[in-house]
Amino acid sequence: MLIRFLRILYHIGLVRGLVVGFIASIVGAILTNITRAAFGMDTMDLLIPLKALFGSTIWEARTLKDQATEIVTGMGAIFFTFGFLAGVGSLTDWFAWSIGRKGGDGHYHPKEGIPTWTRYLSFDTNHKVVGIQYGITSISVLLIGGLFALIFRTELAQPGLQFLNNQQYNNYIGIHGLLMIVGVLLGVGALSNYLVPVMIGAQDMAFPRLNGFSYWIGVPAAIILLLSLPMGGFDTGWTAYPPLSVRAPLGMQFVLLSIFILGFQSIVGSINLLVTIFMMRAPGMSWFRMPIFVWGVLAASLLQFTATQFFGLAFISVLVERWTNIPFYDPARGGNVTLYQHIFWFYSHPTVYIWVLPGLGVISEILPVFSRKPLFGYKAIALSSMAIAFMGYLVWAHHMFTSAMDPFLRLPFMLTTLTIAVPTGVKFFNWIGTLWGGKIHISTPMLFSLGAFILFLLGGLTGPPSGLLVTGIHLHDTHWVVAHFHITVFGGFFFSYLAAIYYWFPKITGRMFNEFLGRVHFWLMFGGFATFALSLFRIGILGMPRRYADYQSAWGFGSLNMLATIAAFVAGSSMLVFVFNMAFSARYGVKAATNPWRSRGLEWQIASPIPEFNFSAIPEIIGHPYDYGLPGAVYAVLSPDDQASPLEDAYTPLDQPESISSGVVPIHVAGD
Amino acid sequence: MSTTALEPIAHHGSVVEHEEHHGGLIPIAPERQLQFNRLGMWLFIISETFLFAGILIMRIVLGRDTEGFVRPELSQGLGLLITSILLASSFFVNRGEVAIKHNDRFNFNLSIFLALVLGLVFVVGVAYEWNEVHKDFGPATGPVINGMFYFMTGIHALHVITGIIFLLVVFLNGIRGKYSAKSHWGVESAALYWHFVDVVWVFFYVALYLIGTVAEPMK
Amino acid sequence: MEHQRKGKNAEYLQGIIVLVVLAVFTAIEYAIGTADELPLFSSAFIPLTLIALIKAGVIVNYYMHISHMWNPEEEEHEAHGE
Repeated sequence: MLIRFLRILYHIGLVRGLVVGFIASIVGAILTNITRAAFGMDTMDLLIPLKALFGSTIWEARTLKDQATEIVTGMGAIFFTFGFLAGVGSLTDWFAWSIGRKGGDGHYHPKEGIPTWTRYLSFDTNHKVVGIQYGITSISVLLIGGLFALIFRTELAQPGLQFLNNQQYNNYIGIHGLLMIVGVLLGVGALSNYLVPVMIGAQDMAFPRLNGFSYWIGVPAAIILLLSLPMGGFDTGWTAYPPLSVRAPLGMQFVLLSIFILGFQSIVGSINLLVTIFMMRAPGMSWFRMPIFVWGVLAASLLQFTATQFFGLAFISVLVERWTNIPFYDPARGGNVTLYQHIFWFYSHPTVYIWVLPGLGVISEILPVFSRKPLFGYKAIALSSMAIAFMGYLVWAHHMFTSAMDPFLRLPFMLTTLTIAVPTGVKFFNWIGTLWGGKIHISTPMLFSLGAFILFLLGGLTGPPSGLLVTGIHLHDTHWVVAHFHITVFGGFFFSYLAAIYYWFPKITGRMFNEFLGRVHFWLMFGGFATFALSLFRIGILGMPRRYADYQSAWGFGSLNMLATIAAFVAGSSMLVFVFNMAFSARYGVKAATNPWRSRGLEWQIASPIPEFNFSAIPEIIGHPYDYGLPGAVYAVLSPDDQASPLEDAYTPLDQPESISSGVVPIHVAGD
Repeated sequence: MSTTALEPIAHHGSVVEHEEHHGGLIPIAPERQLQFNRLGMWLFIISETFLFAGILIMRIVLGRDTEGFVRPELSQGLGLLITSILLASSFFVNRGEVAIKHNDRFNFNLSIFLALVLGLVFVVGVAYEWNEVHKDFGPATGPVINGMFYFMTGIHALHVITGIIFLLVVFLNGIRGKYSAKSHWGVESAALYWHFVDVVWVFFYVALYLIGTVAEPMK
Repeated sequence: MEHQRKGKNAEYLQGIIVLVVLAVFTAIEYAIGTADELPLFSSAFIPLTLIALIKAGVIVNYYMHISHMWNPEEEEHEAHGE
């Protein structure tokens, strides 16, 4: 029994990775220490991390001993990452190739006595497994990040400091921001990895091993990020502006390292997606026959694989300044603090589009299915994604209107900022065009899409006041900006992400989620979040600055803060409904029909859950994907082996009979 | 109808002569896989270009005073020497790639070996220079451009060391005869990476050694 | 397409020519960078950047074979040359 248990444990990649990573981090720290001692430099002081663990977080002035400790622990974290990746098994095949061996075939082979669920906790190259790994990790990270938000939101409910001190408050807003960013990026990875290959009619990604690697490099990054809190925290917020981040406690370096490592995931993952989209589309799938979600992923990946380097550069330069005292950001010695902000926002503004573009793609994907109408203005939506991606490079300095930037630059950046509303508006008009006169079915995915539509619209409309100089300078660094950002990301990504999870849930698990619980989740989430965001807008207009742990009751936004906190708790608790619904339905849900929403997408024509390699023969695309309601319109030709036969008694929410076929004509392929 | 459906399947599955057909996975033809790899490598290079462009922007913004550009005080002779060494190394990598394309094993192995040695000499040169420069200024002394010297050469040297490991792998596989004219993606990717590192140095050499006037020591 | 096929020695020669060109450009760079007075430009920044861009272009085109990205056949002919 024990042997069997240990054997299973050994076959779980995560466990192996953690063990090897831990050993590697100790080895790395010791090696660094020895090397430093050999060169006569200061060595690590074990007391410093211990003191950080037990609450002494502020460094009065960074001594050489502090710096040495930081370098040694930092090298430990880097070794941990390598050890973890090696232990998980993501480097095995590449190592075999580099020493001239053949390596594995990259596919999953079940082993005797090892349960198949271990597959999801181990290195795997199948894009659907990787997608599910991304998805579960992203939801977990988002939940942890949301928990931190609830903690400091409770602190803000009343004037005065109740149970957090300033340092803790700063730590929590910083870690909340970063965890949410990581969670959302993982969510983008989940959607794009799971869906893109099936949607374009491919059997897997272009580089399956790289795909597995790009997921697993995110796990040590997330662990290192969480480590920053016990290691003294960081008081800079998620933006890590120097000079504060250069002086921040030990926890800061774990943030910098973790985000730098996470950058590999973004870059490698997006390159993989780009090659897949460029090279592996099914025959007949021209650019303008691509599902609209794939356009969103394409645009986002183009941003991601370039701009992420700047994020890495910004963070690594701060880390280098902390480690070596090169005065990049020390004005007294010729450094330039504004430079950091430029480099940082050159990534961090486009990153919003990296999240939002796939999210908007999901909305464009779901709306026609539930309105039973062709997607209005397909080309306009597709190209507007590309336009947003391109414009996304040119607006970064609107985050810096009140910084030390040359005031002359404000005007051009205001203009580009307002221009980016145009391609976004194109999407809205096309969505209205899609809904207009449609036969609208309200089901949970559709509810979330409509919720995303409304919230993203509100986010869009509150953009110009933030971007226009006249109002923007007043609103800068107030809760208005917080509300604008949150409503945009909730509308643009989070609601669409939930919509996508509900929508593709029957395809992923083969079972139906509970519709009632789904609706409960929606109304709690939508009501809670909308109330939260609207109160925050008001608080911001009244002038409450962001990142302040405290405010005076005389300023008159105490009750609004209380309302926002209650609303945040409502929205947060709805996630429990969601997690329960997903976990329960995945196991005990009603068996779903192959194509419960009667979608025309390729992924819906094949069996649920999707077979290991999606298609046994590559489908051929002969029509347009969104010709809902057009009689006789055919999108794709699939091999009869792939065409799933609809289950007789399976549950279909859209049960009204309809004259249109799903648009797929099965034909026999010669030779089969 | 059936013929139109057949064509793409033949196109994708043109190498299905192997018996092992992984439960429905259609193997990707080597020429197609090569194009995947090339595109992936080039996208990676474009991505890295953004990193180095960012570093150059940092250098341009930070390395100015009221007079114009400044540069750290470095040995011009050594700079020219290591630049030439890296260019020569790039030449030998290219020569090795041409050789393996024509199945010229001897020249392939010799060229990759020479490129490898020159790459190592470059790293030793940078290390020597760090040592020399460190007598005058450390990373944190003087104007920020002095620190930029360490940052830029350091990040570039990390890439060079990665490239050397890459070339070493290619060399060891090469002398065991793992590459042929038909199949040498390993050589091609290592060469692409190595040339890219060289291109980066083309700009870094100018940025660190040649533009501007020598910075005044600031105390 | 026989006439397009390049022999091995021609390719070796091309590599050498490219190296010579790069060396010449580097020498010019060095001369500009270390000169006290420049005849045409007030600052060395512009000519040096231009030369660096040319050098990078030469390497990307002749050593990195960027054209293989959109013209893979070219290389197939070369491969069958010997």
